[in-house]
Amino acid sequence: MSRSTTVPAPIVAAARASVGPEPIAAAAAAVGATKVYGKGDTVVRALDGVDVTFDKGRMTAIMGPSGSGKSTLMHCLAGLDQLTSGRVVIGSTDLTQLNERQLTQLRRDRIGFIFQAFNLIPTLSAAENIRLPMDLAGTTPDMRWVEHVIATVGLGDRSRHRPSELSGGQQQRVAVARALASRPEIVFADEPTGNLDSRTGAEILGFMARAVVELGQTIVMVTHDPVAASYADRVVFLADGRLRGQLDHPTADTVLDAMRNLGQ
Amino acid sequence: MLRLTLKNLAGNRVRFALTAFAVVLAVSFVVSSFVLTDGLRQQFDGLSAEIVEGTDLMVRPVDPDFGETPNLPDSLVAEAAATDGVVAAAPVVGAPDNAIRPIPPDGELIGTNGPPQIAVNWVDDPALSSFTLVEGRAPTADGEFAMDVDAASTHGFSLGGTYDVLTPTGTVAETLTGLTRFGADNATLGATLMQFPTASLQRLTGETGVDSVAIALADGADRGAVQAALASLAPGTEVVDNATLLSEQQDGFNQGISIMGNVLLGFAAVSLFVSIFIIYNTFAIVLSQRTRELGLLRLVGADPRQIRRSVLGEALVIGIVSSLLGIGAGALVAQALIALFDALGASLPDMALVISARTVIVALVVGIGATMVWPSARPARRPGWPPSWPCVTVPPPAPGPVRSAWPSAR
Repeated sequence: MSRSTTVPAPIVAAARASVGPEPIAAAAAAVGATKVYGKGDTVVRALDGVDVTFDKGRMTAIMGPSGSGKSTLMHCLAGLDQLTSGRVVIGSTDLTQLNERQLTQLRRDRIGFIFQAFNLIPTLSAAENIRLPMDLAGTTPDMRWVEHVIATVGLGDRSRHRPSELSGGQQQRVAVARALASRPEIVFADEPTGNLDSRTGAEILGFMARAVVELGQTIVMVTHDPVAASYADRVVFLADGRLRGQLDHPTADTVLDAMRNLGQ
Repeated sequence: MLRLTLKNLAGNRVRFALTAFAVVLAVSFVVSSFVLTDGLRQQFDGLSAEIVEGTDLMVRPVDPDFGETPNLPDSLVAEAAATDGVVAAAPVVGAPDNAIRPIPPDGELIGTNGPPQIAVNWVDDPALSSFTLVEGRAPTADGEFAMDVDAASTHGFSLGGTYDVLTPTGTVAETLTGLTRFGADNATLGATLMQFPTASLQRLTGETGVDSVAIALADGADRGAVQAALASLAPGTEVVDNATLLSEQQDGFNQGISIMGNVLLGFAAVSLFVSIFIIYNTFAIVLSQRTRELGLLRLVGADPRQIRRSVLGEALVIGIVSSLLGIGAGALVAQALIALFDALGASLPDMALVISARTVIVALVVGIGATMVWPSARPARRPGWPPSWPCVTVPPPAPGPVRSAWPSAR
């Protein structure tokens, strides 16, 4: 795959400009998000009053050292975990008010997921994996859109293959396509390139960036890799469960600098 | 979701083959016991029909409350024959099973554990006799007997030969004068059937009188009137009709068949019990192996009910497929058992494999039931099952407490 799949900053800027002058709305937000594990002496404050918003139609990276609470934040944002206090909002829905069944529906209909590994059902073909959330919801997939997504991630002729017949990079592309296929309001990616070599990782990140620009997708990505973070439009930094800063239009170098400052 | 169910089955053939094998085994035992007993019942019903065929009425002593059933006087035969509406009457005399044993040319006695050796009196009247002469002539004098053609060839008796015969009154030399056929196609089920002249058989067994008198009615005779007239000939007798004889004969055989069927069903029950354990374990292993997969399904929006249905669906498909296979396997097992009987000396000629609707229904109930017991009774029904998403995500770099406190892993 050529480097052309990565998106130069000018195109991103142009895409933004085309949205218009109105302020970019928030796709998701956490307000006073606090998550406490354990009791008494062993208490761990994984999240300690985090206020953060994630812009619609943009890719935001959540970064931070191990134990900073970045994965916990993402899980709470996606309705996979519950806050001890505070609120999490997707669109206009307050997740803290939903029961388990409503959360299941929310995940199915409005959220896409990409993980580090094991994203696919081994017995289903790539195309079937991509359609799975819609099959589960009982909705008819918009085939033109699905094909467009498959083409965008460059899967094309391999869509009939089983995951075991695909390379790690191809499997991740299927995972990206599945996350995008149902046009979710927001896609959560947890270390999506953690299991890939840097070249394949760059391809996947390129597809995700294209999805943001060309498909208007909102993506929230947890990563510890400054290069991966540089594909995002914005980086938010977490440490010890608190928001420690953010960076617009990051590059690998500026992210590294910011991380160094965090460490001090 | 249905597609996923079927794909999962197809994608894990070996895994499910084990489960299916256990079910097939159990179902085939059940089916074979039904098929075999149904077949035997049909066979013996046919035998019963041939035994009583042609006998319109039977005069026999009433079973006393105590002691042996007395014999009827010989003179009763002639009296019965002289009764209005009776066209023929024949004495029925039989030795107890294996009481009379001819010694084959090789000197090796025919065993008494297998099909019995049965001696009856020869009846000339073809309507009242179950036997037809195939070769030679009927035994008419002392020292003469006939034998069914298959037993003769099996044990090496040849026409015209003289053989020692063990009887309750001692060993006598008897000449084989005739080869006979029982019923239409000598369906003796391996028994050795011998016919002796009536007087000769009475002497050999040391008994006097006849066991009963078989009656053939004249055309248009009033059955009830004849029955009453015959009953008044001698005290302590009863006169029964063909239908009664047939059902008594069938009941006698069926008791034996039921015992054998129950033994086979006992085996089936044991194998079913074992199968349920195998199925239970296979599903337990399979489901724990698939925890991540099911967690992933939960994550992309499958609600717990969909996942339960998928697991139950897999069990149902396995149950149906293996039940059907089990029916086929059961028929084969039944056939193998028939071959075994043949090898042990009981010939079951033309025994049909009777697969009744009841057999199929029971097989499906047993097979599907056994497969569904576990997934329906256990985790697929438990609230909070299947496990939720945490199993999917790769362990985060964050240490212990984060993972251990994740909810919905119950």
